[in-house]
Amino acid sequence: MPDEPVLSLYNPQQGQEYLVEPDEPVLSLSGLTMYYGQGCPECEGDPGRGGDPLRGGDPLRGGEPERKGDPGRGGAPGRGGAPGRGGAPERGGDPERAGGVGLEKNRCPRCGAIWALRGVSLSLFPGEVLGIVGESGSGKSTLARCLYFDESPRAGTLRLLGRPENAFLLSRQARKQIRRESMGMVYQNPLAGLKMDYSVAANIAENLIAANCKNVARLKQRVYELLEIVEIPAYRGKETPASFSGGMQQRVQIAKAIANRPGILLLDEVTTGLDLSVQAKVLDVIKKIIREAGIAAILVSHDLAVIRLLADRTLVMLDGEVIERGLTDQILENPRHFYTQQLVYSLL
Amino acid sequence: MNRDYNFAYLDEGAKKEIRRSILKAVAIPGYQVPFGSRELPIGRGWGTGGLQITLSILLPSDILKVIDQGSDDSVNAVSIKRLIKECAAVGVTTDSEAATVIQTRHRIPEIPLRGDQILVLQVPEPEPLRLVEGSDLVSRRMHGEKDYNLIWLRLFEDLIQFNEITAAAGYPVMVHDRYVASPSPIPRYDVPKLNMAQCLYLFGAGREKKIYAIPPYTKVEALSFDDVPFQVESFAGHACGKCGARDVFLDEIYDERTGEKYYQCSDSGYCEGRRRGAG
Amino acid sequence: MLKKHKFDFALDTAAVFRLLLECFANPGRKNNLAAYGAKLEAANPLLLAIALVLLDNETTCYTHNDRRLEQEILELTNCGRAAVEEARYIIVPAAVSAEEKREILTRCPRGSFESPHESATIIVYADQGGERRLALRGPGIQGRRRLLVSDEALAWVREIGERDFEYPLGADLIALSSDGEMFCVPRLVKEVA
Repeated sequence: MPDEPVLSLYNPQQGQEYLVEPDEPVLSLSGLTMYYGQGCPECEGDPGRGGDPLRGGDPLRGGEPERKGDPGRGGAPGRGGAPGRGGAPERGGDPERAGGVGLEKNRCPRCGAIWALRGVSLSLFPGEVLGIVGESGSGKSTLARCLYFDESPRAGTLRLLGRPENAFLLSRQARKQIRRESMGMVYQNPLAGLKMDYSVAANIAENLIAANCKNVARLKQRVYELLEIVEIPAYRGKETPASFSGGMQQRVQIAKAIANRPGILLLDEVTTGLDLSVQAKVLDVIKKIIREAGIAAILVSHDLAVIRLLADRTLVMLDGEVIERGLTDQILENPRHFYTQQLVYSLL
Repeated sequence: MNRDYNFAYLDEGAKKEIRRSILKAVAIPGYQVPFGSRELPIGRGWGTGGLQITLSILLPSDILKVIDQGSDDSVNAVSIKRLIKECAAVGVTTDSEAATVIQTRHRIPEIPLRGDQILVLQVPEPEPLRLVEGSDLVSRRMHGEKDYNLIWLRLFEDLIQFNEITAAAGYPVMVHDRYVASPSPIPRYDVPKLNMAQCLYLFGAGREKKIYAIPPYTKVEALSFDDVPFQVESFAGHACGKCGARDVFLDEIYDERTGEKYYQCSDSGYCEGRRRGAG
Repeated sequence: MLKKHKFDFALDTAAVFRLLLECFANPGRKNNLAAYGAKLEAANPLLLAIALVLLDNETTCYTHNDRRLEQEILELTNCGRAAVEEARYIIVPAAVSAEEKREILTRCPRGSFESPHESATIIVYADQGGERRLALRGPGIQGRRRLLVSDEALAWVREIGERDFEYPLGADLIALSSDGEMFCVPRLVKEVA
């Protein structure tokens, strides 16, 4: 039994090393709970309590205009409430955000709160791909957003990369730093992950610059390295992602997400909406990266075929809860929960 | 001096507000202190911010110089000078070495300023993040978190597209390793003068209602990548047609009659001083 | 009330302000306010002169343990009275114990990361002149500046230093002494050996 850790997640820019034992998870989540609106503690069947989100609704996303140049200039500097409040949790049930149609069954009959996640727990081990499958409204995308600190959950403990603290409770600066150094996220919508008014090269370099690399030659070198990994020709680096096809935009996102060699990659419906032939290319690139970098990944998808292709283990989500979990092969061969069975049969 | 107005035009309340802001600005170099701006008989965008600072710091014993793009004689400089003389009875000069307070737009005088001098700069847009972030709320947060990624990204983008950084005036600077500030639309040539200077620099933006400052002996660096050093304009091989000065910032002038191009000191007071000295 | 003072509220405030600005821009440099204090009929004319420059109804101040001075300042400037937790200007007209200094500094506003200017300026007054050596370094100072200060002023500089506020949060110090001397220590300026 080796005393040395199998995986050391080394970030060359920061020079920090997080050592994770072979049997220790890189990410450990418990009790993740998320709802929009005012919850009430007496709701039937509701184990959670009402109250403010952790950190008073201070997500790293939300409350910011999506596009640069948005007027939003009130002129009154810094007066009145803290910025960052009025992020998603206060919005009281935007069906789009909470995951799509069919949410009425997730609504608390007494207070109208919409539940997205009910006490979800999971662990992610070094080098593995964890699939999360479910329909719209299952909470899987909310889960990904919470893990990436784009949303602040109501409750939950997140331990990352051997660190003892609950990452959800860390300061804004600390969470930004973790995000930048240790996590990469690929969004379903390229607009969410890329800046369309900057070149592809600048997009990919963004996290490298944020991690304090100020050497242009090195930045360019790394950018071109990454373009090669995701199989985008180097000469297209100067173009903006707006001129790229959907599949190429996703590959740019992937390049950006792995630029800093993070230990954890989050993939949220990355091939949804792409043509089948294009999907294959993107999935190939992901497969290659995961294999070569030994990165741990969480792959969220409603498509069991994608899960089957990439995920070692899988969680099945329904209505904000994990209803089944296990090795992907086993779930496919022997689905136990009725819902899982339906999913599997529809695949075959 | 017109005695129907308070000394230096502004009422004492207005001056106090500005004075309080100036002191906080000096204590937090490069940070934009918001202040309550007053109405002035000069249109917004014509230097009301700089003017309010000047009026709040002036003493009757001061000697004032006002320049616009280096020139003492531009319409704007002359109007401002006239207003100030009317209500503050200060002496005026075109000699930057004789002045105790210099109000300027878009240029810093050639001769380095001394510790007993104050340079007041007019700033149209104080927010260096404005080009990359439209929301005031978000910019304030970025300053608070020292998160200047977007500016760096913009500079990197310039290098990717054009192989050089294109900002000509108002090049963003890092003050005391903490705040990124706009030095106002001074040319790159003048940016090094901000670093470890002997004098106090005060910046006023009237329309945006912000005051910021760079104290003497404060580190001020243009934002630049490690391997792409900051470069200033070069006038190598050229000299001022009027006084012969080299190694100064030169304006390119086209002679309307002959169509010839010639060069002239942008700092008109400096040029005049050289010509007087020469005989 | 105003007639008894020979202090010109426009010209003398401008002069005192310039001295104050010079002290802020050149921390540790001393300027003397005695001539201006002499124009005021008050128990503590130097503090009053500073109050007249900086305070009005748009700001707040807290005066430590001196009702009469507080009253005088409020009447002359119309500034709002506030608790030490909120006051933008904190006036300490006499020497206080180390505990009291710490209490004031623990409670005083130090600004926020987004609005660091919403922080206190602490104006202290000490009875005797300066005998203790102080060396300062920071923006406004070439290398270091050495000066002689009173025990009380030195104690304040050290207490603020010890608070170790994370810049840009902090408090700025104006130190006055009975001989009319003034020096300032803005938050970035620290004592060095």
